[in-house]
Amino acid sequence: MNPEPFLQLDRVIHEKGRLAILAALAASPELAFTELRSLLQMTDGNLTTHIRTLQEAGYVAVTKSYREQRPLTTCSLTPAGREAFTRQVDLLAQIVAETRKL
Amino acid sequence: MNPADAAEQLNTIRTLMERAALYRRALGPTLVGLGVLGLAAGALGYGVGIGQDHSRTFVLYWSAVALLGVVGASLQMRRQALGAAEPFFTPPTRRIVGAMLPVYAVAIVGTVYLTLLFGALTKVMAETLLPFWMALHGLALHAAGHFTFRGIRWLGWAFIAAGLAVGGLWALTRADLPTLSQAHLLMGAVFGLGHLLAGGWILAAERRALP
Repeated sequence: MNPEPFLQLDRVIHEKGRLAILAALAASPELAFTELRSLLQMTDGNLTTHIRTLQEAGYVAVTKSYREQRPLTTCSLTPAGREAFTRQVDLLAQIVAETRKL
Repeated sequence: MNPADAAEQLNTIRTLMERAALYRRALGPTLVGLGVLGLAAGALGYGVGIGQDHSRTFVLYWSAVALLGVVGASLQMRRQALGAAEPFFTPPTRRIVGAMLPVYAVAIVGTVYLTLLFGALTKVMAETLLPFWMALHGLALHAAGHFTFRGIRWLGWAFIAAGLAVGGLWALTRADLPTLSQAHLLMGAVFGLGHLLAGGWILAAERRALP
């Protein structure tokens, strides 16, 4: 089996939780922190840690604002994040396809 | 990572992307509210005899009820969004509005057209408008159902079936057509009970799902 796709997998988004965050954000232009939390069923702490890691990698942008006098934190995918996510999905599909060939 | 993990991750990604694009606000209370409004409007229309001799008054009355329903449902959903510290006009909300809007635009233009054309013929109005409104509301719900819970699509089919059944029955049997006063009862029964039953079913399902 060709090991190349395995070696190219992005270590930042290889982790299940972070890949799930990118998947959710890839389907929606932006999601509120609370929406992400309920969608992924993560704790506040866990989600914050993963988002910080993705933010540091330049994959996710976080916007803090006020709506109706309440704080609102929204997350969205950056162009680099979308590219990394697409590449990761392609690599995963490649791995699955190569296994089927065997 | 082994290939089985890769397949599982792809499956998880697909599921999450589908769920992230769906409208997930609680629809039970909204549908119950719309159901109560429909029943009350039907009873009031029949009891008071609103527009029984003037189809334009009948059309205006039910247009006002529909507007009240839209405003009430929007306020209820906005309150839910505020309570959850989420924006109201989320991308899934936009998709739903985008899916329903063309159907309601046809309903509005069609209603104006029918009222201008047959406004004086009250029985023809009752015969034509009721199935038209039921079927179009069903089509709007069916379109919205692609971006929210699958059950909304079934509710859409139920309204489409009600519209076709009512229209078909009158066209085939040429039965004694209802007066506009009786049409209030039918509107209340179909729109009121339809939404009320769907909302009650969703609320019961949510309660069953609680741990």
